[in-house]
Amino acid sequence: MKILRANKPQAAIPLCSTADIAFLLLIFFIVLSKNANESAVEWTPAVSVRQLMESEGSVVSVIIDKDNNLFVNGHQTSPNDLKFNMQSYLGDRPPGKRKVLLKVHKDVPERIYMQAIFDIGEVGGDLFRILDPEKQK
Amino acid sequence: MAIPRKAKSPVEIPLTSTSDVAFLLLIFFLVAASNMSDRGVALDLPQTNKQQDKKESQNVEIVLTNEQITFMDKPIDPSQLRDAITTKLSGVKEPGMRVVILSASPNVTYERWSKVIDDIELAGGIPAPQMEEVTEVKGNEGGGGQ
Repeated sequence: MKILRANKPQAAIPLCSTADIAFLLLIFFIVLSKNANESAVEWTPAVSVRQLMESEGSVVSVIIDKDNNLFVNGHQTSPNDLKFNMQSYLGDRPPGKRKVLLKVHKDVPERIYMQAIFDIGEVGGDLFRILDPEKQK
Repeated sequence: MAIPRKAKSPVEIPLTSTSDVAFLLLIFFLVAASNMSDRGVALDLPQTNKQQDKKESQNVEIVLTNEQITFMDKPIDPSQLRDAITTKLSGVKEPGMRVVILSASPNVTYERWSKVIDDIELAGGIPAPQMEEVTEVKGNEGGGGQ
């Protein structure tokens, strides 16, 4: 005579929410890749007493970080290649549509940032300095 | 005789969806941070050096080092710089004559340089940064950190 065995409970992982998780991960990595360009660069803006304006419609972003490293649109570059890299982004855009954002760490010495400023001038960029508003005392 | 008590049912907050909520918050703040726009000021750069050289003798000149600020060959306190430029440029209407030439030593920090540029612009001048060798002056006569 056969001995009847009790049915084993099935140990299945619930997969209902797998699609949701996959979708959220997709969004997460899309957002992260968009931000990866500049977010890793460490720089503290200089403080300004002036009325600051919102920057809109920039083409190129030049960052000089606390270690005097140069970044063009989030990609590290050498001072010698700065002009070439900026020109490749600016192309043949007309004056007024060649905005270059300059983000310089507050303690960077003149010999570094001045060269970048002159390079921006030479490629015909419209220089826009990114600064922090002065805090009320 | 010990009276048997009823076992209390555990009161727990359901934490199953906490990770989902945390993940959604993370995405929300990433998106919000990427939408924050930068704020700053524009700086008009001189187009050529030729024009600057021609007018150099007539324009206001500032020499900036980490130790002091020299305004028209005289050391000046940083707090008085804006007023001095305003006084110097009062009555000058021609834009070409409102150019203020700023020479800085190689070690001047961006923040210090930026503040002088602000002072020039707030005084109605047109800053013209120059790249040249400026020797650092030891001591602190008439200047000081800004």
